[in-house]
Amino acid sequence: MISFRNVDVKFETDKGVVHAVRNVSFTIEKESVFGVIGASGAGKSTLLRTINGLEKLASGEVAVDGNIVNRLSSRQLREHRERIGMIFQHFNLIASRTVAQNIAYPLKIAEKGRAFIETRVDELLKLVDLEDKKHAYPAKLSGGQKQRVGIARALANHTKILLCDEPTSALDSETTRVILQLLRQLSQELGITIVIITHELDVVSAICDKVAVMSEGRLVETGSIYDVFTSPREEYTKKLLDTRYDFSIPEEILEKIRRVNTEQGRYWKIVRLDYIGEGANEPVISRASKRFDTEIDVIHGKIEYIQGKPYGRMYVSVCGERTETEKTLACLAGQVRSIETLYEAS
Amino acid sequence: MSNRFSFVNALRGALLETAYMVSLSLVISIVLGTLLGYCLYATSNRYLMPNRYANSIIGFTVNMVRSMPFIILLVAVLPLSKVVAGTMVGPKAIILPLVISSTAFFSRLSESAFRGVNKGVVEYALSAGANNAQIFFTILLPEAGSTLISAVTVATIALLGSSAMAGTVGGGGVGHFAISYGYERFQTRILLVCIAVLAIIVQVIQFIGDLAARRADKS
Ligand SMILES: Nc1ncnc2c1ncn2[C@@H]1O[C@H](COP(=O)(O)OP(=O)(O)OP(=O)(O)O)[C@@H](O)[C@H]1O
Ligand SMILES: [Mg+2]
Repeated sequence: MISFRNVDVKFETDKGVVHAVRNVSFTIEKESVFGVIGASGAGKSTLLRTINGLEKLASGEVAVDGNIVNRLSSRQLREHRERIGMIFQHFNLIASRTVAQNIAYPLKIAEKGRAFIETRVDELLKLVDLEDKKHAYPAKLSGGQKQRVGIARALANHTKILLCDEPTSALDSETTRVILQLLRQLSQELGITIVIITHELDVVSAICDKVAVMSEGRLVETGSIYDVFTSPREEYTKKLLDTRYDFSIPEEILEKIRRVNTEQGRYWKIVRLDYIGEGANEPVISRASKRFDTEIDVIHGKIEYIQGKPYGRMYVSVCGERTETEKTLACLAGQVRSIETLYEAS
Repeated sequence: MSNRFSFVNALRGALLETAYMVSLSLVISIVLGTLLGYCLYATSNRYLMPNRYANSIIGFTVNMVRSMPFIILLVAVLPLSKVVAGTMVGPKAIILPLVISSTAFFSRLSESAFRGVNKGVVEYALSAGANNAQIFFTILLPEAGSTLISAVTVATIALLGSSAMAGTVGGGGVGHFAISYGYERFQTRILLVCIAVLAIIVQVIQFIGDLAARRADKS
C-alpha cells in the first residue's frame, strides 16, 4: 500500500518557489492499477516521484508498505528504489547497452550473482516477448519494443510496485493498446501495484481500477474510475471529461431541424442524454418513440464500457406536438441518468 | 646537420621526447579532467551532488587556467616544476604545465560530454537504486563514450601543439628541434620536414580518434 499524507513539494527556482504538489492525501491499495490524471504542469510526475524518493517533500509523509520514504537514509533509499520499478514516456533505455544488458542493469545494481542474472534476464525477455532482440541495441528497436524492455527492466528485481510516467504517450494507438494490455496482464499475474500517470483518459479507462485527478498541485478528486468518469463531482473533472465526450452539433444539421420543423409547424428539442449502468443497454429510445406520437432521431451517440459497465452519451432530437414532446422527454428523463436540453424551438 | 643519418636520428629522438611528453600528460590530464568534468556536472545536477558554490569555484578556477595563453602558463608554472619534477628544463619539466593546461581543457570537454547524456537515463539509473559512483561508471562514462573519445582526440592534438610550444623554453621534442634547427639556423628544409611529420601525426590521430568514436557510438 502506498499512502500520501499532506504531501507538499516545492521547487526553488531562479524565478521563485514553485509549489508543485499541495497538501495531497490519498492511498493506493496493494495490487491495484491506479491512474493519476490532470493537465500539464498539474504536478503528476512530481507526485509519482515522491514514491521512490526522487523528489523530496517540503512537508507531509509518503509511506510504502509502512516505510516512510521521506525518512529513509540514503542507503535505505537506494534499497527502497531497488524494490520499485519505473518506466518513462521516452523509455530512457541505456543506449550503450544491449537489450539483455539493459534488463540486467538493475540486477547488477542490486549485486545479484552472474548466473542468477543470466537466467532472470531470459525469463524477463520471455515475459515481454523479446527473446529475438536479446542482443540488439535500443536504437534498433521500435517504440513498443523499447517500452517492453523498459517494463522488463523495471520488473527485474521482482518488484511489487511499478511507477509509470506517461508510458504510452510516445506510442501509436495500436502499440498503446498492446502495452496497456501487457501492463494489465502483469498486474494480475504477478500481483503488482501499478501507478500510472497519463493525460490520456483512454489509458485510464482501459486499465485503471481507481483514479486520482490533479489540478494545479492539488488532488481534486479520487475514486473508482467508473464513479469518477460517470459522475464527476468537481468542476475541473467535469471539464476534463467533457473534452472526452464533447460533441458539437454541426450548424447545418441544426439549421435543417429548425427549418423542417418550423415548416411543418412542429415543436422540437435537442437534448443530451447520459446513460449509466444497465440503462445504457435498454432500448430506451425506441420504446419512448413507440409510446408517444413523436419522432426521435439520434444525432450522435457513444457508449463505452468502463470496468465492464456501460456508460454512454447520446444527442437526440425529439419532434412533434408540444405536449407529446414534453411527455416523451419526461419519460426519457426517468430512464437515463441525466438529460439536458441543448436547443429548442423558439 | 649535413649528415642525413644524424638528422634522422635527431628527429627520431625529438619525436620520442614529444611522444613521452604528450602521452604522459595526456593520460594524467584525461583522468584528472574527467573527474573535474564530473564534478562540474554533478554539482549542477539536482540529483547527484547539487552544490552551487562548489560548482562556481571549480568553474572559476578552470576558466582562469583556460584564459591563460599556454606560453604564459608555461613560464608561470616552470618554477613549480622544479619542486615537482626536480628540474626546470627538458621534457620532464614540461609535463606539469602541460597537465595543468590540458586538465582544464579536458574538464570542460568532458563536462559537456556528460551534459550530452540523456538526463532521463540518469534518472532511470537513480530510480533503479544506483549510487553516484555507479552513475559515473555505468551510465555517464559509457553513454558519453563516443563524445569522450572525440574529446580525447581533440585534447591530444592540442597537447601536441602545446608541447611544441614548450620547445621554446628548452622543453625538447619536435618543437624544440624545429625551432633550434629550422628557425634559429635557417634550415628551411628541416622546418618543412617537421611540419610534414607533425601534419601526418595529426591526421593519423584524428583518423584513429574518429574511427574509435564511431565504433563506440551505438545510437
Ligand atoms: N526540477 C524542477 N524545477 C523547477 N520546477 C519544476 C521542476 N520539476 C517540475 N517543476 C514544476 O512543477 C510543476 C509540476 O510539474 P510536473 O512535471 O510534476 O507536472 P506534470 O503534471 O507531470 O505535467 P506534464 O503532464 O506536463 O508532465 C510545474 O509547474 C513544473 O514547472
Ligand atoms: Mg509529467
